[in-house]
Amino acid sequence: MRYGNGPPILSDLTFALEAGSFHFITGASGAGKSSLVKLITLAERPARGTVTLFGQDVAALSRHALPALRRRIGVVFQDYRLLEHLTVIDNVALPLRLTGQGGAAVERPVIELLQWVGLGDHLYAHPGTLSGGQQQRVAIARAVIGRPSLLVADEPTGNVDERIAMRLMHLFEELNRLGTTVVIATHNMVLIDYFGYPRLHLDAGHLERQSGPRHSEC
Amino acid sequence: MLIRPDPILALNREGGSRLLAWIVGLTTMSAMLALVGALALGGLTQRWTTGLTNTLTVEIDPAAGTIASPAVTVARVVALLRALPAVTAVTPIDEATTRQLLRPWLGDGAMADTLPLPALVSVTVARASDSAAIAGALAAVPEAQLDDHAAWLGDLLALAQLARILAGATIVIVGGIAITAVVLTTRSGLAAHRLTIELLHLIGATDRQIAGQFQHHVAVLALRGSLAGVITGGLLIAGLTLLTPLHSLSITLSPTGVIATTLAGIVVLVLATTLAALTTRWTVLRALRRLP
Ligand SMILES: Nc1ncnc2c1ncn2[C@@H]1O[C@H](COP(=O)(O)OP(=O)(O)OP(=O)(O)O)[C@@H](O)[C@H]1O
Ligand SMILES: [Mg+2]
Repeated sequence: MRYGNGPPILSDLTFALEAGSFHFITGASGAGKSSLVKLITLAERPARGTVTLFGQDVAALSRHALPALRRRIGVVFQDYRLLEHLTVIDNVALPLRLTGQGGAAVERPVIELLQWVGLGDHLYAHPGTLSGGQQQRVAIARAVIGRPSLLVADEPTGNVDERIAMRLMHLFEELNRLGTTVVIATHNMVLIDYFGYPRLHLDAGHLERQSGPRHSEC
Repeated sequence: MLIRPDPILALNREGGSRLLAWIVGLTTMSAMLALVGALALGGLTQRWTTGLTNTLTVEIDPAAGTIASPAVTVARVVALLRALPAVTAVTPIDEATTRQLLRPWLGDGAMADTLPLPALVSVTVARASDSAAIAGALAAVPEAQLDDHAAWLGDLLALAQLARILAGATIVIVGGIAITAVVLTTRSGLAAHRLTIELLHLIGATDRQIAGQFQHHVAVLALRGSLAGVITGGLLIAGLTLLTPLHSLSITLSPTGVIATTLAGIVVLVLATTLAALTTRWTVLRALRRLP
């Protein structure tokens, strides 16, 4: 994969994430973790090779088919990408609103989730008035609110303290237990060692297979 | 409800929005004036066309200074015209009736009674276009003149027709201006919200959902703008009909005039809003389709 006409950022990657699995993507800063996340979440397309999601070759999909696929993926962007003019609660409700849900049916789960991630007092704040860690939790809440089949989080605990990081990891594990495939890009070695999930380690755009027991290749 | 059904894109924060409302307002006002003008001209030409009867008047000038007395000339003219196949009836108009007809111009004074009057002969033809044949026949009688109002009425009708075409062209042109303004505003909105749109796509928004945001926003703007434009246009028309000789046209403040003007306003309003909304939708969908 490359950006525009730039140099290749990722090359020779072959891996499969089994449905219901939990993986870390690790690697030094600039190794290509975010770029790999963009490939998995259909934000970028590979220059060569294929990306297969939920059994479908992404390159073969028409524009029309993409939204339905993307609704099954929850993404936590490294830079959050919250909508500044919407309140916290509206930001988190957005994925549900896009599927046509609205009103009280949306409200309750959104508020419950926000309380769970410790933002119960900031429901009507605008993202710009929140700390980095608070914004990060809004981004996480938005990614998981739709119970996605695949959750991809890019450095989701980079801005929060250990206690909240643990709490968020437990949220991801809870989702994973309910069937969501989880992929987390991070360089937080403490978390990686503590949870011990298989790792996809990137080194200058190449995949080093430091996989744990649940990782399978193809 | 806690979660407000807010627009997802903050489209109303742009200066371009207010400008668009103004452009829609001014163009709908112009369209409204042109439409009501065309309607009024339509009423007028209709009246003129019904006035374009098959009856012509031949005028015999008493001062033409021929040897024959007017009565002889009248008899000659009547005989001449009756011989023509195009003519269905010829009736000389007596002096009393003529005086009656001329009273509005001459007044009631003594002069009116002594002034030598032209003798008039009323001629009915099968078709209005037959007047040429009559004019040809009358060339033999120098004192007789055909009062051919059909001819100048025809010119006026052509002029009115031209004015209506111009009014139609005006509507098309201002419509084009409004559409262009909508396209440009939409494009600048797409550029300004590029990152938000990208994010919405990534979390599963369809092109239609994004287009719907723009469509709703522009429809509200166009509705506001055209409402203001149509009301201003209506007031202008009312003022013009009250203060100028236009009140003799059919766009008076008569009930029909008011109803026609109101209907024209509603038509312009609905058309402008629908056109603006559909143009935005089309512009957004076309732009999004070109994205990777
Ligand atoms: N939008 C972009 N356009 C061009 N090059 C980019 C872009 N984003 C990233 N890159 C390049 O791609 C390479 C990998 O970047 P990436 O963001 O994937 O790294 P990362 O592993 O996520 O790093 P970090 O841990 O700092 O987030 C870097 O060399 C970077 O300069
Ligand atoms: Mg990164």
